[in-house]
Amino acid sequence: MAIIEREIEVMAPMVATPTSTYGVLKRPVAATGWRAWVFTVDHKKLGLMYGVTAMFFFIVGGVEALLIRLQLAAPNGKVLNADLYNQMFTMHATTMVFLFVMPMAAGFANYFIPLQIGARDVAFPRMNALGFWMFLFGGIFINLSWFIGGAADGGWFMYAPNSGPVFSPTHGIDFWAFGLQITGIASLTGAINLIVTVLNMRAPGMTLMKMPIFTWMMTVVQFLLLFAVPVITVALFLLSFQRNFGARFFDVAAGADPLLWQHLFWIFGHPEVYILVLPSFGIVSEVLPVFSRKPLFGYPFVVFSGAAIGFVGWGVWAHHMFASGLGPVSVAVFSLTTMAIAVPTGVKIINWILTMWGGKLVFSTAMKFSIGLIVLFTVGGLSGVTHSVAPSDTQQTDTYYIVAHFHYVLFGGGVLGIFSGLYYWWPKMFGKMLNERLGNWNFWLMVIGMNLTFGPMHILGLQGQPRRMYQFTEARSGEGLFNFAFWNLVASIGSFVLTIGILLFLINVVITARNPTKSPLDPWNSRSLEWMTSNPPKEHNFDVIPTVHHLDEFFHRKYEEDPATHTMRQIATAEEIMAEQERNADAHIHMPSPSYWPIVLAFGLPVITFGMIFSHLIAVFGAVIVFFAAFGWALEPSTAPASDFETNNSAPSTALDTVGKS
Amino acid sequence: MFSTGFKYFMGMTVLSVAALIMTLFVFDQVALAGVALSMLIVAVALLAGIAVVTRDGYRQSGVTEQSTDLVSQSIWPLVTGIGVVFLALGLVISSLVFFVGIVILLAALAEWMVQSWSERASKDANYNASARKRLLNPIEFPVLAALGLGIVIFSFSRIMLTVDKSVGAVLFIVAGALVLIAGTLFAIKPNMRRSLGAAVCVLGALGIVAGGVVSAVSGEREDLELAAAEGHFTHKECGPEESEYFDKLKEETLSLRSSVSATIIYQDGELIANLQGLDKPQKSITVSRSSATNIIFRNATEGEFRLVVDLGKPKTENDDSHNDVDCTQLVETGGEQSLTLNIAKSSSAENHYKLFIAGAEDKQIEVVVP
Amino acid sequence: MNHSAKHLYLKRLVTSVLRMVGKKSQTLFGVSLLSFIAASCATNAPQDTWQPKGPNAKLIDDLQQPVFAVAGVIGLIVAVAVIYSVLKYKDRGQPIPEQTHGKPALEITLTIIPALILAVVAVFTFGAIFKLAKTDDTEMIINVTGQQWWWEYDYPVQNEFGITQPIISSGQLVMPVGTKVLLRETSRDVIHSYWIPALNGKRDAVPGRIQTLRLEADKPGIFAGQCTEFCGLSHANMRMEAVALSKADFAKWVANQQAAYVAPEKDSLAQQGEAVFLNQCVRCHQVNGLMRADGTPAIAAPDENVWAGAAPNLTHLMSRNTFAGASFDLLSKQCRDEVWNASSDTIGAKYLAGVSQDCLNQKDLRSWLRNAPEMKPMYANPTQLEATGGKYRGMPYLALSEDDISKLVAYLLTLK
Repeated sequence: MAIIEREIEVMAPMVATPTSTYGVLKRPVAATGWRAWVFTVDHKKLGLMYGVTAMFFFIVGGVEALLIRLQLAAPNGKVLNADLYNQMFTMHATTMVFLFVMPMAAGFANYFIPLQIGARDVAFPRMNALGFWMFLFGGIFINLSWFIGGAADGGWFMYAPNSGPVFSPTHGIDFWAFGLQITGIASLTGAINLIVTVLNMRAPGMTLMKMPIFTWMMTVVQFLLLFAVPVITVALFLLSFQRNFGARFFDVAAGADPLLWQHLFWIFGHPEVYILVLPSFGIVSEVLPVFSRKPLFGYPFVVFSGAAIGFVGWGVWAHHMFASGLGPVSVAVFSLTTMAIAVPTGVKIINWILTMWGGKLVFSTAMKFSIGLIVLFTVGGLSGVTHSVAPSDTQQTDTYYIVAHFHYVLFGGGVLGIFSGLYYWWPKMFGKMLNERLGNWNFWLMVIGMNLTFGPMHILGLQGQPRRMYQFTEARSGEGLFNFAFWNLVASIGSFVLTIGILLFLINVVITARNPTKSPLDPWNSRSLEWMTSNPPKEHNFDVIPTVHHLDEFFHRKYEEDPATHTMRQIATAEEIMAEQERNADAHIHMPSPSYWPIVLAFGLPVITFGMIFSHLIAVFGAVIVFFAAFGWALEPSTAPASDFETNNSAPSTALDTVGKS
Repeated sequence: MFSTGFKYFMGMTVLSVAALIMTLFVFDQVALAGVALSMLIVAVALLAGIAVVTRDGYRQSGVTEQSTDLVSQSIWPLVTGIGVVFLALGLVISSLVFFVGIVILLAALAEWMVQSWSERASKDANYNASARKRLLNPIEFPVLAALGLGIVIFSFSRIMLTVDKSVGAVLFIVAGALVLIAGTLFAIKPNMRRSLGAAVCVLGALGIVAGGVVSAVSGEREDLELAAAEGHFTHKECGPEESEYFDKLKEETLSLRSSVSATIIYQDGELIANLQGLDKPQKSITVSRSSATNIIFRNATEGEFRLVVDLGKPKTENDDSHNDVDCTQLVETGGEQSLTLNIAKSSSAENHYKLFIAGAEDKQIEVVVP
Repeated sequence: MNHSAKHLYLKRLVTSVLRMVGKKSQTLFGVSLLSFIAASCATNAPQDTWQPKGPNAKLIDDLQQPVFAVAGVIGLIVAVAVIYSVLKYKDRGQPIPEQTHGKPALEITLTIIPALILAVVAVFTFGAIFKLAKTDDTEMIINVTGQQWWWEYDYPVQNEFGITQPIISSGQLVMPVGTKVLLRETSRDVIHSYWIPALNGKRDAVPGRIQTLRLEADKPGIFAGQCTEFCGLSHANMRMEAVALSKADFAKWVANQQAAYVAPEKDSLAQQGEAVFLNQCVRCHQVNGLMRADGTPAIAAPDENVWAGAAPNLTHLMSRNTFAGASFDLLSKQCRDEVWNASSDTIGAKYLAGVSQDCLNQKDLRSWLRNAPEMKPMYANPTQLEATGGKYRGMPYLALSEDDISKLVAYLLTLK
């Protein structure tokens, strides 16, 4: 199962007389065309697929956001009706959280963790593919509800009992709950996979404290996922049973307490916030040192504050429930823990600033996004601190102030970090550099747009506009120019500026794809292992697995400290290091073989859940698919002997063939 | 990519699914046709699976000779026979037996097919045996494990239903402790003989199953049987004496302790209400109409008492003889129980609601429903 | 790095930060911040959270203002530090700097400082949390029940306020000033949240639970609020208004609420309206004291028609200024403004005047009676009621004739 760094005994009975083995299907072999993508188990291809899908859902969620802003641009908006508006804000949040930021982070993790730790793939490549397909099918499943009677309309927090069958009679919430259970499995398998990869497959010499910070932060995220996803799964399971099988977990008349749902949801929901921002913290912590030409300031502090956030993040969930009536003791305790978690977060901000301090700053687009993150995330973090003051929170919670707060955290923190990562790693992934001039426009329009959109929401919230309202009235808007209507209009205009900024990114992608210019091997003068291979990396990542001596190994192979001045002088170029690697390339490299089964198995799950909602007969059909796929999977050795590949007409000798046959 | 046999059977599967869907939509009488078609779907889908797994029994060109070894023993003809017997018996006795027969038959046929295929797969008997294992173990193990665990758990549940409540708790502790001890032993001595561990597990499982059989034969414990027979919780008896059924199973837990509307305390011969948010004891409580309102009854007097709520005249107008009541079970000294009120009609001069202690109607608290 | 270099580093950091937050920029930022806050506050929004009108809200405000200020200052420091390093350390061809990996002493200092600030904030926060949770100084109790999408208020018997029989009302919470009022909140269906920003923060109304919220107003006035826990389709229309009256005015209000039912004059339009009301409305709505033709009291049984089991009690409807869950005004725009803009001395009299024929908002009331679900989204569409067993949530379409509507309006006007 494990990816092969050394030659190992393949599980297939090679000694037996027949040359054929008993896989269910012959292995797919295409190295080009759609099959190369659909049946791949390569972490880089899967990473890209995660990214592209996430970007698609980003656009979907963005359109939903624009509709919301259009509706609220003026009092008594008529763009959407109440029902559609409720669906829109529910799905906007669901899409952005579960179908954009999380998979985007999963994409980055998939692509760069093996590269950063000097591995050739993840530990369980087929499970990796399964994760992607489950995420994709789960995401499509959730959004199917738009076309079958209406989407979920209970808000992404889906508070009981409002999410019960009586209060939301359409199937939207059924699709939502089942779909999220499917993407939950994807997150869980992904988390286990990456944890095993990071703990077991690091290059020789790479101790945990020499591990790149992005990998560190992603590892913390995977542990958070590992423990948080089961909690939401339990909650969703209860909800599904309540809605589809007449269970009464949240039915007050049957003796239930509806606050149970809130606890379950937020015990997941708060770690989820860190699941969403820590990847971006990791990216920023990679980008800032590269463009400051200085190591990350206080690397151990950043690592441990990340881990601390990972722990304390479990003890703050009830700050989402300060108005729920928990009683003063609980409120006081959670108020205190919430203040406590601000400290490790603050440590990160301080370290980023001190990383730039005294450096040699190069303002690439990636760097700009990272600097933007520091400032804007700080705004979100500080408004978060004001929420930790529980009495104050009872005034601001469920108003636009909190909408402003978490958009500064998730957009200013999460999304800007993602864009920073995209600009930074684009040449690594595609061998071409995104246009920096367009990138500059992209950055400024996004930053201005985001502040125009979410900045006024602070004021709106403090003026008392509650969230989740499909309309606001003039009677409650206040007098004078700067009333609800004004700030809402500003926010709506801002959202379009923001949209233009994001469109520029897409345009940039197209322009770059058409531009034949290749990027240099090491365009940013980078520091970590993923840059010690070609752009894009070879199928097997590294010709020779590097031995690590330093945190920032690649940088230290290029530079040496001048003992007199303590400044650095170059001793090798990236090309020289690359050439050295190619000379010493490993003779035998086994790579995991592609497989049909992950996608088939993943497809069976939405069929089952579809059947749960509409007809149990369909569910049986889906179960048959899952059963056969799991069966076929179980029969397959992870690395197939050469005979088990389909005959390939197009390319007689692909990379896979050669590496597979050793 | 897919073998011919697979395509054939898959086609049949799809066709029969289509037929089933049509049947469901076109005809009203779906019971028989639906069952028949569902069976057909399962069967051809299984065949499709086997066809694709065995690649229609296709062998590489290099392997033309068959195994020269004797074919091994097979249990499947026997099992098939048993399946047929069950099937026939089921037609007479019950549909459950019939379905068991179908399951046995299908499983046996599948096993039989794979075995005969594997024995001709190559001339190497070892390879053939391993081929069969690799094919079927992924099904056999989970199915057998699920069956075995299911039987053990079901047996355990029978035991728990038979033994006394306190014995049940002890049994649970013993079971947990045993698992813990076994786990510790395996962790300390990982080289312990496998057969020993297996023997312990099998013996334990057999013991539980035996206990389960005995329990099932001797029946559930008395109070459970009574409760089931008399519709325990739907049949409340709110008089002052211990009731025949309702007080048999004591509820000893409170689901909601905080934020209940009121705590009703029977203390020093007085019934008082402590309202959430009010610090003075009250003699009346206000309950919002048509909303589930939780109250807690606490008995601070020597003896067992129950709290009764008088819900006024019943809805059916023709029966004026007695008022609707709801009540807690008898609560021992120092005990607590909750009661959920849900009163649809507002109180008025004609329509009084009150809480009182059964047998001491003068100890009462007025319930106002505005 | 040696000791002196470390020292130098720290010193440079501190002085540069101080320099940047120096006099000039400080005033500049201060002025812009203040004008920004002033601009956002100057609009007199009815739900402004920074304009407390009672001791509870004041307590929160006194706590949050310094926190906002501290947060603002820290935010400025971060922004200035970033801008400073961006300007100062831009790549101007300087050599690649020493690869230092951090300075633990500095790190620890910069960790402890925010922790200390937060510790101070925590102390004050704790005090406020427990003060706001107190119930032992309550002077008056009002029960509040949320339902999709309106609030019901009932006043248990409290002789010290002249409440000798339970009072039930909806739409507007009427309370005496200078009195520590405790709301006991619950809900009939989903979770709602009660929020009058000028008087206190919010508290969720959770079905099956009773949760308390302290309210106290300093001066007479009307304070706006809004349900803030998402409660389904018409969440945006679930509003509330708290009316604080002087103690004397409150006594008058109580007396009026307890006044007996006055039947409309014989052969008037209103009397025909009473017949329509008995025919159409008493299924769900109740008017205390209203008798059927056969002399029995007309008691509503909404639980047979409405999912959550209740509809607003319309006794003394015209003493309220709003209807349909405070979604619409019973007063015409002009009359409403007169009440809302009245000074705290005169507002009591104006409010107690109720809704007269001239001031009635005929347009909204008539269209509500004509087709309620069209005015306010509700689950009253018969095709969508499968899950509730045919019971609607909110007022359904009743197919009343224009004639009947006129009669009903005339009748409702008599419910002073």
